Amino acid sequence: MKKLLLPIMAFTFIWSSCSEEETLDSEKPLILEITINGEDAHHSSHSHDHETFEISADTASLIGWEVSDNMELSELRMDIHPNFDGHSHGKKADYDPFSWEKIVPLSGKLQSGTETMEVPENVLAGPYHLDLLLLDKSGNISESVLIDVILTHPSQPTFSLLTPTEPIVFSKGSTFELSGTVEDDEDLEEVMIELLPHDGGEHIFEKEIELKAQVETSYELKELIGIPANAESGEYELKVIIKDHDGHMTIRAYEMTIN
Amino acid sequence: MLRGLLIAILIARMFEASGQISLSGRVINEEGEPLMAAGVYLHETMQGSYTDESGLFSIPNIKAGNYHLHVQLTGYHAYSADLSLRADTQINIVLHEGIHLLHEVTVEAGMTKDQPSENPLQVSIMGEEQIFRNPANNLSEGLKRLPGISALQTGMGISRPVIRGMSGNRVLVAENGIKQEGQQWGADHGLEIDPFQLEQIELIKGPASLAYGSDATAGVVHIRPASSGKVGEHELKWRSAYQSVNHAWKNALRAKGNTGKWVYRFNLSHQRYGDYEVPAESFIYNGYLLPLYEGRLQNTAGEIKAAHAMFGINRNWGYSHLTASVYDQNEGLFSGSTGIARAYQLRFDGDERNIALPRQEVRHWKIINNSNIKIGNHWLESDLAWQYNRRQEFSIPHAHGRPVSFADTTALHLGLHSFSANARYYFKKDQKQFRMLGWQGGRQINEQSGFEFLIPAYRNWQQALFYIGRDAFGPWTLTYGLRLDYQAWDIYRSRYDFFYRYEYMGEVERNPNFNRRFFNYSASAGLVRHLSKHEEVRLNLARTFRSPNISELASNGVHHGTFRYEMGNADIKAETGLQSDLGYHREGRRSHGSVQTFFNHFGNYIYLQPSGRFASIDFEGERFPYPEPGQVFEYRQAPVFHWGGEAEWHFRWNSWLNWHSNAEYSWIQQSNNGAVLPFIPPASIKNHLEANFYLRALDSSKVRLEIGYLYYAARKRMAINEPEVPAAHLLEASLEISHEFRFGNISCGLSGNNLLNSLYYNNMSRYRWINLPEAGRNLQFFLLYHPSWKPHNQKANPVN
Repeated sequence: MKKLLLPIMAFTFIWSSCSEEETLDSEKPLILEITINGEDAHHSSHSHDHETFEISADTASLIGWEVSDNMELSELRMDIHPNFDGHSHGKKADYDPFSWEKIVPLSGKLQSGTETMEVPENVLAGPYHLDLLLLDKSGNISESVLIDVILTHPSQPTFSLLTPTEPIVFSKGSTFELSGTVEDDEDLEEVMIELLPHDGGEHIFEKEIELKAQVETSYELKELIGIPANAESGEYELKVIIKDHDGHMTIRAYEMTIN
Repeated sequence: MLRGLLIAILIARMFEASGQISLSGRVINEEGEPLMAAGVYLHETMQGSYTDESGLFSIPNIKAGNYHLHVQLTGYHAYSADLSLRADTQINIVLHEGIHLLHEVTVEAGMTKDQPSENPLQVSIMGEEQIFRNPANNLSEGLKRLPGISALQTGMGISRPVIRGMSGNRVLVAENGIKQEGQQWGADHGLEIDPFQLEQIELIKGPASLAYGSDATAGVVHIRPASSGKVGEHELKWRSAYQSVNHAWKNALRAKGNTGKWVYRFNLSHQRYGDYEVPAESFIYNGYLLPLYEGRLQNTAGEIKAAHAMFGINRNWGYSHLTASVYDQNEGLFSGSTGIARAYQLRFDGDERNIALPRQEVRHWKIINNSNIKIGNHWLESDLAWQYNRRQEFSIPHAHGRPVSFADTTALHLGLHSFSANARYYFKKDQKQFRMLGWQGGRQINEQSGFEFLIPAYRNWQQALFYIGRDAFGPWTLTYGLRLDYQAWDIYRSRYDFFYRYEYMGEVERNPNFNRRFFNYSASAGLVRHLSKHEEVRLNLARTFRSPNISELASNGVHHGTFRYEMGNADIKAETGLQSDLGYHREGRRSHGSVQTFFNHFGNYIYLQPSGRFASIDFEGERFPYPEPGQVFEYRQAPVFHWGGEAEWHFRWNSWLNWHSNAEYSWIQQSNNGAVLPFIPPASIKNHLEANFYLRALDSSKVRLEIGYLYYAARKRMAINEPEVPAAHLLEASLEISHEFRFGNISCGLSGNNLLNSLYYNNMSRYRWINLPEAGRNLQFFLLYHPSWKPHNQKANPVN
C-alpha cells in the first residue's frame, strides 16, 4: 500500500513545485477614464449616487476614454441601450429607441481616444445606459462600467414643479401635495409618480395616471402623497415620469429627506 | 439488429440442454440459524426465490449452464457465487452480518457483474430511499452526498452531475445500459431523467470507458434496471413531497409486479415549483444594487412531468424487457441572467409559479429493449434504443435585435434522434475467469432551428468493439481490456438571418459543411489485491480518448442558457488521457472506510477559454457588435493535469447510532502554464450522524433521525474571470417515521437543508457569475405510502 502511494505523492509534489514556469496573466484590464462631452462620467458610475449625463437628439456626442492593462490591451466595447424600465420596449411610429454599439481595437498597455456618437433626430427621449467593457489579449474582462445617460429631444414633455418647494424634507406619517404643470407638443400618455430610497430598494409610493382618454397637450398634476409611518428615515428620490404619445419619456427626480 | 436478435434466439434454442435442473439450498447466519426472506436469484435469467422460515429456497426449471448466483438480505453482506450447473444442485450459504443495517448491499457492479470489491475502480451504489430522503429537485442534486460528486446547476430544476470536477460529455449517464443522448455538452442542460422512476443508481468514478462508451473518462452514472420484484407480488407505491423554498409539490405513483413469467412496472410523476427564495433582499451586479423582490429569484419556477412503463418476460432462457419513457421539463431562467440585469425584469410578476420568458423546455422520449439470452453455456446481452431529445429555448426576440413585429419566441430549437445498440457476449465464465466481447453502435441525427444559432444540424455514426477480461490469481484480481472506436461526423452548413438594430441585414454563414472522422483506442489494466476478506487495495491504469462533441466542433453563437458566445473549432483533435486511480477499502465489524486518489494527464484537453475578442458578426466586410453578450469563449486544447481524491468513513457506534464522514478534493490545471480551469468544485467535508430506533410510544414505529454538517472550503485560485467563492458551513437534518399498518406501510418525514439560512455562493452555479447566492433554508415534508395486500406467511414461490 505505502509502496504504491509514495511514488505518486512524490510525483505530485515534484510536479506541483515546478509547474508555474510561464507567467499567467490574470489581472483585469482597467477603464481609467470615461468622459461624455468632456465631463468625467466614470467616477460616478460605481457609487450609488448615480449622476446622469445628457446627450441630445440630432447632435453628435463625444465619448472619451482611457484604458490600461498590465500586459496587452485587446478591445473596448461601448454600448448605449434604452433603460425605459420595461414601460416602452420597441419601435413607435415616428421615433426609435436609440441604440449604438462600437468595438474599438486596442494595443499596448495604455491607450486613450475619443469616439463620436452621432445621435439621429428620430430617437426617443428618455433614460439610457452607456455600458463599457474592456478585454485584454489573454481574455481578462474588466469590471463593467455602467453610466446613466438621459437623451433629450426638443419634442419631449416638460414638467415644472409647483409644490413641494426644494429642499424637500418631510417626517414619517405626514402627507404632502405634489403639484405642477406637464406640457407637451403632442398628446400626453401617462404620468407616473414614484418615491423610493436613494440607494435602491422598494418604493414606498407609486402611482400611475393614464392620460390616454384625454387628448391634451397640457395637464395640471395634483397628487396627495402619504409617507408611511413605518418608512425608514433617510434620503429618498421623488420621481415624476412623463410619457407622451410618441414614446418620449421625461424624468424629473427630486432629492427628498424623510425623518 | 432485430434480425440479429432473432438469430440469437434461434441459436439459444439450438443449444438448449435436454434436461431441466433445479438449484436448492439453505441460507443461514454465522450462528447457523436459518435466515428467512433472503432473496436468492440467478443474475442471468432473473429466476429467483425467497427463503422460507427454515431458510430454504428452491429454484426449479433451470437450463444447464454457467450462472451468477446472488443472495441478498437487509442487514447482511451480499453474497454472490459463480455456479456451473449441470445437474440438480444443493448449496448452503452463510451470510455475514453487515453494518449497513438499513439497506441491502450490492452484489454486483458494472458490466462485469462482480462485487464492487473486485472492481479496480470505485463503484458506489445508491438506492432511491437514500436519494429521496433529502430535499433535492433533481437527480444530480440527490447524488451530491457522495464524495467526488457535485452538480452543475442553473436554478433549482436544471442540474447535471459532475464527477471529480468534470462534467458534460466526460460524465456518461446511462439508463439500463443505454447512454442518455440529449444535448449533454451544455453546462445548463439538465439531465432528462425522472428521479422518481429509478430504484438504484451506480456511480463509477474513474475511466470506465471500455464497456460504457469512450466518453466516460471521468466516470459513469448508471441508472440500473429496476429489480423484477418478488415473484407473485404486485406492489403500489405513492410518494408525495412538499418543499418550502420554492413551494414545490411533487407526486409520484409506481406500480410493479412479477407473475414469475411476466414483469411490469409503471411510473408517473409530476413536480411543480415556484420561484425560489434566497436569503437576501438585493444583489450587487455591475456596481448596481439590484433588488430581489419578496426575497425570491424571479422566474425560476418550473414544472416536470414524466411517465415510464416497462413490460418484460423472464424465462429460463433469459429475459427481454421493453421500457418506454417520456420526460418533460419547462423551467424559467432568472431574467437577469440573460444579458444585463435590469431592475424591472426582477420585479415580482404577481405569480410565483408563472414561467415567463426567458425559459427552456426539454422533452425526452426513449424506448429501450434489454435482453439476455442463453447461448450454450454463455450469455448474450443486448440493449437497443431509440431516443428523441427536443430542447427549446424561448426568449424575447427584440432583446436579440429583432424587430418587435417578430413574434416567434423560439430562440433555439434542437431535435436529436439517437439510435443505439449494444451487444455483450459473456463467455468462459467461472470463479477465476471472466471474458466479455462487446460491440456498440450508434446513429445520431440532429436538426436545429430558431432565431438564434448555436450548433448546426449534423449526422453522426459511432462504432466500437471492446474486450474485457478478468483473472484471479490467489489474492490478486487482474482486469484488463481494449476498446476500438470509430466516430464519423457529417456537419451541415448553417445560414442565419442577420438583424442589426431591428433591421434585417441579410444572410450570414455560421459554419461551413464539413466532415470529421475519429478512430482511436482506449485500454485499461486494473489490479485488486485482497489483503484480507474485507480489505483491499486497487490500482487502475488507463489510456482513454474522447472524440470532440458537436459544440466543441461547430458551435458559433450565443449559448442561451449560459449567455456566452461560444465558438467551436472544426480542426479540434480528439482528447486523449493517461489516467491512474489508486484506492484502499476496508470493511470491519463496526466501521468501514475507503480512500481513493487519482492522477490524470490529458494531452489535448478541450476547454472553453474566454478570448480577447467581443462577439460580433462580420457582414459585408464590416464588423457588427452582437447585441448583449460580451466576450467570445473559444474551445481550445491544452495539456492538463487532473488530480485529487476522496475519503469516506462509516462508523457504527452501537446498534442504533451511525456516523458517516466523507471528504473530497479535485483540481484541474494546464500543465504548460498552470492556468486553472473553471467550475472546479470546492474541497468539502460532509458529516452525518444517524440514529435508527423503534419508538414504543408510537406503537413501535421505526424512526430515523439524521443531522448533517457540510463544509465547503473557500476557493481563491480561480479560472480566468471566474468569481471567487467564500467558504460555506451548512447544517441539515431529517426525521422519518415509518409504520407498518394492516393496509400497508406509511413513512412520513421532515427534512431540511441550509437550516441556518446561510448566505452562501456556489461556483458550480451559473447564477454565481451574476453574484446571486444559493437557495435559503429549505424544508421538505414527504410522505410515502406503500399499500400491501400480500398474503401473510408467504412461502417461497416456485418460478415458472
